[in-house]
Amino acid sequence: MIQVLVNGVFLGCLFAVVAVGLTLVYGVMEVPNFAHAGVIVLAAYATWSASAAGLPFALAALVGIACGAAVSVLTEVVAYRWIIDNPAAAPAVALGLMLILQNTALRLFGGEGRSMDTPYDQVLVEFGGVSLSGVKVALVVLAVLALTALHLILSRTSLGRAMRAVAQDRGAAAMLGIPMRRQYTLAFLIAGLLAGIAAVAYAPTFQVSPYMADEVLLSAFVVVVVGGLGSVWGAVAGGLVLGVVEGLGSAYLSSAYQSAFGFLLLVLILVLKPGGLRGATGRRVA
Amino acid sequence: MRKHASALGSSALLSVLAYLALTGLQGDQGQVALLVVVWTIALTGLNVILGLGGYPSMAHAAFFGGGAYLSAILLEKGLSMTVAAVVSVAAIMLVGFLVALVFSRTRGQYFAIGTMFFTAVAFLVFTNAAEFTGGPTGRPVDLGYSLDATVVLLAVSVGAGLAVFHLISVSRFGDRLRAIREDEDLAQHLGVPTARVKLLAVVVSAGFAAWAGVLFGQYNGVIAPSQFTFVQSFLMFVALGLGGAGRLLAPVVGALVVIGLTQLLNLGPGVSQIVLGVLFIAVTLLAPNGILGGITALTRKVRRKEAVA
Amino acid sequence: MSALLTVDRVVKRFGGVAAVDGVSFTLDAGSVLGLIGPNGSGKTTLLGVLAGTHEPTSGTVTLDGKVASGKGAHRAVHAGIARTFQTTRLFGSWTLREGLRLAHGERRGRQAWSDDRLADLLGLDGLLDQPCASLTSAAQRLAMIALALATGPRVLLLDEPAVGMDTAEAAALADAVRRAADELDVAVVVVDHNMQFLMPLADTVLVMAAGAVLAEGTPEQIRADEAVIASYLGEA
Repeated sequence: MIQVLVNGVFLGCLFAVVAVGLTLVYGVMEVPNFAHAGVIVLAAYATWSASAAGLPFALAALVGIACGAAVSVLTEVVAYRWIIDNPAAAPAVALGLMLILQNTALRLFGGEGRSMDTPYDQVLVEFGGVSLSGVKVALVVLAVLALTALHLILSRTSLGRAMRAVAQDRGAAAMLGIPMRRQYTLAFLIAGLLAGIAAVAYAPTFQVSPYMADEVLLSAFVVVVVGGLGSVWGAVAGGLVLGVVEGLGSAYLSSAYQSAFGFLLLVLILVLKPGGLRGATGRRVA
Repeated sequence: MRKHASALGSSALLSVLAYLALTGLQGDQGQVALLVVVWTIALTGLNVILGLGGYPSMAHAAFFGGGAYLSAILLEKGLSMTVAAVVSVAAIMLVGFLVALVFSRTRGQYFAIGTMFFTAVAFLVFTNAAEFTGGPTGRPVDLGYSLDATVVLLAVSVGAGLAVFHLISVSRFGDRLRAIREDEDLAQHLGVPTARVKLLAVVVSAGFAAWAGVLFGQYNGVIAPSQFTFVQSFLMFVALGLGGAGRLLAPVVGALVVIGLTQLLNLGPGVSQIVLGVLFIAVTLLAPNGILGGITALTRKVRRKEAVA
Repeated sequence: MSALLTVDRVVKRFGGVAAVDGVSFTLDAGSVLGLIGPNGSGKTTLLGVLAGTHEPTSGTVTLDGKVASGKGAHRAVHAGIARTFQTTRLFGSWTLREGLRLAHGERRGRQAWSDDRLADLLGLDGLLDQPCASLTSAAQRLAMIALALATGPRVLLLDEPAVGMDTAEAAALADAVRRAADELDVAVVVVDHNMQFLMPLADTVLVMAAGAVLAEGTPEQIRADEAVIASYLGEA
């Protein structure tokens, strides 16, 4: 039981890191960033390539994270920037970008999965009768570090406060003289860094492939919906809840249907508490 | 009246063209013709909820696959083709009803995310319920109708589907859907029962997709989960957007562009989808009403210039 | 004769905050009620409860003896209660005529004026076939009222209709509202801060403060009410 819960927490941390990236971008720009999956994929391949080229893993990981950040910022500069005033076009642009990024990976690295070796993937951590692979421990540690750092940035720095102001009310933030362009780029930069961290952290448990991020992205979107679009702590809490639900479901019911349990959770929430989801029913009339 | 005549006329013409393409083209080209025709039928349904109503349904590939799998299973159980087809389409419409019941509470991007997740779950079922679906490698579909009959049905369905769409589009139901697309709150405050209208639109679109799936299975002979992934839902969304969502002929144009690009041009793995992604973004930014909308705007501009000159 | 619209102890809470806190009043057909009060006093929320935008936390709204509240906006419209919005909302890419056609379709057999007559009433002649987005902002606010009237309402709720209008435009609007009340026998509730517009138009005035009714009376009585002057009119 504890083992299952711990696995759920592992999944939850992964979902949270991905979901926070989605929710930040949504918060400042109202874009459902499907392309986030492509960013994760390219970051994972960058790490894999750097590692295969002989770089030590820690350096390769940094290369991957940097790549994630660069690709994410690139999507903002090349595409999203042009639809700021036209949020209705956002899903279409996001889908187009996802097709481009994923298939770029497919084109460069082929469709078959590659396994990523890390110095810690043979390590098994025993803790109070629960055993966890080094990879999972590393992911949880990385997630906690990354989200704590993000929290400090958002709450303690003027840059972070500006970003929260933008997420609250774009018009008012612009009137206060907050440079909007920079906020958009910054949100994509942070999202890209988080995507890179997620890629480096979880690629070793699965395989690196163009489609590695599909299911994670879907679950992360559910987290975002459950936690409220634009809410960072909602994403963290939602990530943990969804991770535990999927972990329990896959352990006790059927592992093949793991993400289906997340779907059931979403349906249940929508049926039981349609108003409980902050903002899920869109903007209501005042 | 002229509007009806031209819409119904072009629907009939497209039926004839579909028939000629399906019977005239062989091999790979025949496969492309089949996919274009099947997609046209499915996309016509998507055009109701997404085109008229503005709701980005990502459940379409699941409805499409559901129709294909369910009819194959029922046919195997010994039902006659017609009964299997009718039951499949009805059952998928019921599923559409349930999906809409849950997700019509959500709006815009949440609706896209929810329905996309539904498609991912349907894919899990197609892959894992191997007893019925044959698992990841798919299953054969028994021949229920003769191939000739299937071809005729495919061709007729293109025209009939477009005609039905036209009638919906000019009806009060169509007006109400367009009102929801423009401003859902305002529509509701002018008396449009928005939840019910959306529900009906999802059910209708699911019916189209399921029927397209039934015919696809019949003609293709094999079906596999990889044909019904949520990426397929994306591509359908992309296709309709490219064509010009809400316009009668958008499904035809969208299917031609997307299927043509991915199947006909041999660009190597991934490249066609990259091109599609770039094209989709470009059209979204430059011609928000799709290729058809762009053409309309362009001809209007040219005519105005001529009038001035 | 019993009243057309009866609002009975309506309460609307958002979270723990009562935006509307026990409001009651009645309204007769053909009469105009002015609803005033400082910002945040609950006027728009009350309008929302009447129009079915919000479900009341408690209390009821009855139209002709039938409960009309808490059933959703479209049912309120079908019952005969229509509203406009503080910020202009129109089907931007539609022409006004297209919007009116939709609204006429939801009328449930009640009487309403034809498009041309509505255009004439509101001074929108010649603008019926223009895309709504291309109208001036004053015309857009009038177009929103035309849409509401096309649903054949028995109660019309106007949320700051005169916002952004100059004195002449506001006077014409007041005239149109009066004519709609008289000739269509519609009961009208008008929320506005513009006293020059509202006071001559209203038959009765209801003053809200902190979600509750502070005072109710004829415009003359309200002008003379010291509590109202202290809390609201004095500021203006």
